[in-house]
Amino acid sequence: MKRAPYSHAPEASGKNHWRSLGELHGAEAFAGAAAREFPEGASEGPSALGRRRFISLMGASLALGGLVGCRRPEETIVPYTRAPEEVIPGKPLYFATALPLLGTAFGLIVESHEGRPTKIEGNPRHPESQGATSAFLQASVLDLYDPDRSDSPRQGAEKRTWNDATALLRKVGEEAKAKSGRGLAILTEAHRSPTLASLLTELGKALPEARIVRYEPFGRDEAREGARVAFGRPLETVLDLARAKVIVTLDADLLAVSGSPLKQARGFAAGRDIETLGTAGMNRLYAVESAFSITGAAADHRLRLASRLTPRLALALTRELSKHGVDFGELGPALASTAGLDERAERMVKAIAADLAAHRGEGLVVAGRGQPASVHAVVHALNLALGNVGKTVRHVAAFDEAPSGPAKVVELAAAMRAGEVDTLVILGGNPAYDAPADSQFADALGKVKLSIHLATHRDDTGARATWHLNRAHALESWSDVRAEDGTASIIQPLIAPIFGGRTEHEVVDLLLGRGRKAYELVRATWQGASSALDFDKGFRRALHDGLWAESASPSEEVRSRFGDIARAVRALPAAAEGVEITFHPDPHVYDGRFANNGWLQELPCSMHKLTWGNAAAISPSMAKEHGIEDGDIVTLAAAGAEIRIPVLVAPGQAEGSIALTVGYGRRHVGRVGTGVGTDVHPLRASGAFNIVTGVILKKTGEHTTLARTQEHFTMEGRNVAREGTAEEFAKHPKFAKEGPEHPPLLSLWKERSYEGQAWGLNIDLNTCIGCNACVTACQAENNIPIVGAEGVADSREMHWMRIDRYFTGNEATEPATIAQPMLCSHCENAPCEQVCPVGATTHSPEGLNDMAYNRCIGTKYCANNCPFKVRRFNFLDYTSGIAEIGKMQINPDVTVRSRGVMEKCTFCVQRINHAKIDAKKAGQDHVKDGAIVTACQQACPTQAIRFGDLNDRSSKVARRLESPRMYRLLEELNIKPRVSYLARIKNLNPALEGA
Amino acid sequence: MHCASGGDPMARYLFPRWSNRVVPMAIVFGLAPMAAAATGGLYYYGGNKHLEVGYSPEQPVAYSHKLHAGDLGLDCRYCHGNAERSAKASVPPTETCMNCHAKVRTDSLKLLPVRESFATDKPIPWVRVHNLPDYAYFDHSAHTTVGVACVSCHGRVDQMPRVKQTEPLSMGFCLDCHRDPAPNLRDPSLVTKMDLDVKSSAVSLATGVASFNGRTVTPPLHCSGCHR
Repeated sequence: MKRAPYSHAPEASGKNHWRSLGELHGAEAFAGAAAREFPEGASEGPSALGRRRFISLMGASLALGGLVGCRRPEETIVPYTRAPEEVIPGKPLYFATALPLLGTAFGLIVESHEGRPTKIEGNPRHPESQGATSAFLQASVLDLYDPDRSDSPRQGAEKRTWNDATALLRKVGEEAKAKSGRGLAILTEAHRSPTLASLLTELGKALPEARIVRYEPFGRDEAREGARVAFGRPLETVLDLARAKVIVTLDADLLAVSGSPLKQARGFAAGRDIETLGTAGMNRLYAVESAFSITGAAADHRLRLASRLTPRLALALTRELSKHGVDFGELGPALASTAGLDERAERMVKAIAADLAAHRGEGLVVAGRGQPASVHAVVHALNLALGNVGKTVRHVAAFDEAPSGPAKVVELAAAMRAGEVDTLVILGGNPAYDAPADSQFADALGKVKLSIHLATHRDDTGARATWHLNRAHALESWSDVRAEDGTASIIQPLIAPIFGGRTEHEVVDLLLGRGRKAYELVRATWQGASSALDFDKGFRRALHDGLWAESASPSEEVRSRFGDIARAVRALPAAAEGVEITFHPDPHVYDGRFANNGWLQELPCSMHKLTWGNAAAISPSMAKEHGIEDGDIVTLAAAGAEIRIPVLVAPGQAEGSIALTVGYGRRHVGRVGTGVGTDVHPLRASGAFNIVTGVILKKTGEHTTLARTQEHFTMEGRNVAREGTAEEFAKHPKFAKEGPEHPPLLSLWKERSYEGQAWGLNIDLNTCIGCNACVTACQAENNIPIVGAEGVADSREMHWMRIDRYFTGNEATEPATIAQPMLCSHCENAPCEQVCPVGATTHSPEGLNDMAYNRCIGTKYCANNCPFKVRRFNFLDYTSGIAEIGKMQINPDVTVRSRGVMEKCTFCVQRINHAKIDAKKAGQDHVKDGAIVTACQQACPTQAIRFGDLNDRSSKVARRLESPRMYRLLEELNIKPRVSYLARIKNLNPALEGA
Repeated sequence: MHCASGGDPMARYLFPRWSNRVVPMAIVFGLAPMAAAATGGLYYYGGNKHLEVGYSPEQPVAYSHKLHAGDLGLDCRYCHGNAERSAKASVPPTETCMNCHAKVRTDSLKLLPVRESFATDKPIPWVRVHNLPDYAYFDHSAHTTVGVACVSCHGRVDQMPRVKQTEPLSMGFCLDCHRDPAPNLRDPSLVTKMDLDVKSSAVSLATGVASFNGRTVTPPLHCSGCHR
């Protein structure tokens, strides 16, 4: 049956949901694509697979087919010679460790199958992860098995051994000692390892003239400086979002990359718990930002404002608050001279100020990493004056006060060029790629006689350094790390270094003329710090728990130094006019370190649903003004440099602001990341490290296709992501249950009854922030392959879970958004089951929509009949190309699918079965609530996902179904989905009504 | 179709008239039985019953289950104890062999590979006999706990000098028992008893529902019970 193509009609109510500008404007290409489950030509091979190649492949498979006999091939069983303690083949073990990332550290529990780590989960005891993970953390296990990792030290391109490297490092140490360190420079990442810090301190004492510099492309340098201005010393700011009723973010992506995002997301969600807190007790989030972030998407009110104007807004906010009687001491007079903002912004500032003033001690203001130090200082003043410090905000001692930041790298590079550095040791990081443009680090590196680079890959820096040393991955090393709040963890190896890499601690120890193992070094650090009589016991406890008990730093007393802040504010230059560029860490590759990680490359980013690459995000009106469209290549010129980059037309992007993500366009990556994306570093100089102004954008006339998934698997305008305001909810609590009118729901078939346990899943859209942790967790747990950029463009992505991001409102420039995770709904009357000609997809007595891969013959009827478009077909063989080492990551409890097979979410049936077998063995008839945790649920930082037994009235998921906000999708079809949602409630400020 | 009369130049392209009779006969009496034979042959000879049952590969060490489990009476779980704890029953580490053979028959030539393995830390590559496909997730512990005896699937291993597959281990074999488990259930403490008559020790089935210690045994019959 041919049906009329769906065309989008905007609603007058303004509750209009759309996924792309094409849908909003009713573009023909969109309507055509929406009508098909699979795009035209989806079953064709990739363009690289020519006829000749196809024939040779066919020849190979025929030859194999002929050789294999009737019986399947002989297999061997290879037992241990001596069984390690505690290892039972078939039963995974779990170990606690930690991973440093985003300027903090996340406590993890890693699953290990017979010695190979396969899956990362959060450590529930660790304050920074609280059992949750992010997409970055989930995907880092894949980096461990990256076949392109370096497997030996190298001198130039020549392979060397660690014996050679050890001799070299000792010699460097000795020679430096003779010159008391003159000519030696050490460049590290912004590490937080107490052991490394003490080793470097020791080195600094032994070699007083050596330069020790720290640099990270997305460090916390401005925030540190801001605290120094406000408090006289660089303190860390720790936020407690759970206690805040009014949260104001100034260009800070609190829920993704700023501060400690997992903890903050959990706190934010706690404040959205409408069932417990009521509509009046719910928090309210205001986001002021230039580029759409998931924080802006989660916000009740979002103001899009160019980042260069944010300082002005911070001052305007302070000025407004002083009108409400908040005392800013000497800072008050400094505000008088502040320039104005446009009417929209002024209105927002007034509303925020009134809200903050009404919630003293229950508010929280935070500035983003990219904002200048003075803005951070003003924010400290705001929190102090509002009485938030000690309640929602606390300050702890900084990890250390060693110099760091882009300016230091520029200094170092100048010294290198001047010949003042004859030996440079780079411990991690990739400065030849990511150092500020004005340092010309790559060029300076060539001037250094001996440069030694320690890294997991021979990357852009390693290829230029005279020596490359292969580094152990965090999952294979002994180390230690302090989180933002000071909580200390021991990093323990899950596996011996696969490629024989070593850690930065060992390298520094060699420079010091010793040569101890990282394990000894870490133990020595903590032995010194521990007052416990039985150190071994304490150490084992710390390893088991994943943290040292009570190691979090105490809150520091802070006093307002409004005078200093006022001076910093006066020193702020007037905001430049013209177009600006803001630099952000990339949601796929962060600062470039994940560039060879296929899971992250193929993860559709939260806001733009872009995969495999980066683009310059510009507002729809700027696009119109320049006559450019999505995928058009432009040149961006600023401060004498120029880059060519495709454009991404981003609804919600601030006017006069272009958002660039950093981390793409590296030259030495590996089989996954080489040649992907654009390097934007030429525009990023130390003087304008986060915001560049005076940018000139020019159209080139060229075009490329961005692999975006936002129009894939469209819900064809049906009202599936439901939301309302607190006011609406109070008046009409069951608003979400309203669907289209339908006749009484009767089934043609005799409906099943579910006597035992009935599995169901619920997602709370009020706390879902669309962060993608679940999507990556699902990929790691269920052996989901990647398909490449071309595959994504052909709508062949294999993710079992997708997060639909809808823009709402009728304006292309100023939309709100809502995120909705979609996965197999396990419908009780499943449309897919009714059309399968071979019974490959059937129903289990507990309500699972089972998928027997071995029965599937690939008709794809099921996918065509699925109203949620959650079934994925293996158009090509995506798995047999996985490198031998990459196979170590594969979850042994889940079948690896081959070509021609349909697959989809199973509700993590392997976890269900394990829990059922465990319950059976323990003599229980039922699996207890909480014993089954799906991968997506476990990863979720906001606990938006609940899974359990719907027949058990006391289960967490069943209790959620009693919420008036509960609704199911397409109920009018009588398909009875087992996945239900809770509608999102926005807590709008009445003063901003209609804004 | 019809056949042309003589004199037509096209006649040489046509089948002779008698073929109208012979071809259908050939199909009925020739091709059809052949197809039936092929189908039947494939059904019989291509199935597990024929291909798998009786498989008894040579092992790197001529380990005799008959000697150890039969004559000496070692319990299965001395070596395969994980069958109670894990999905995998596991072949024991070399260490387990050496528990005894460090003292017993220390100069036997047959045991040379075992001693070598222990000395060099190189595992012994045993050849897998009972092999389920990768998409079938069998769990030993789930079966032993409810009282499915080892002998039900593995046969009288205690009488085998060299292990041989005795059951087809096909999906049909699994389902026969999953549909009606009672005949194969016994007191879980007796699962490793090889010589016990399964039928006579099976749990009583007055109600038609298999039960053990008051708990009903309900083996899964749906796809995801075993495939995931």
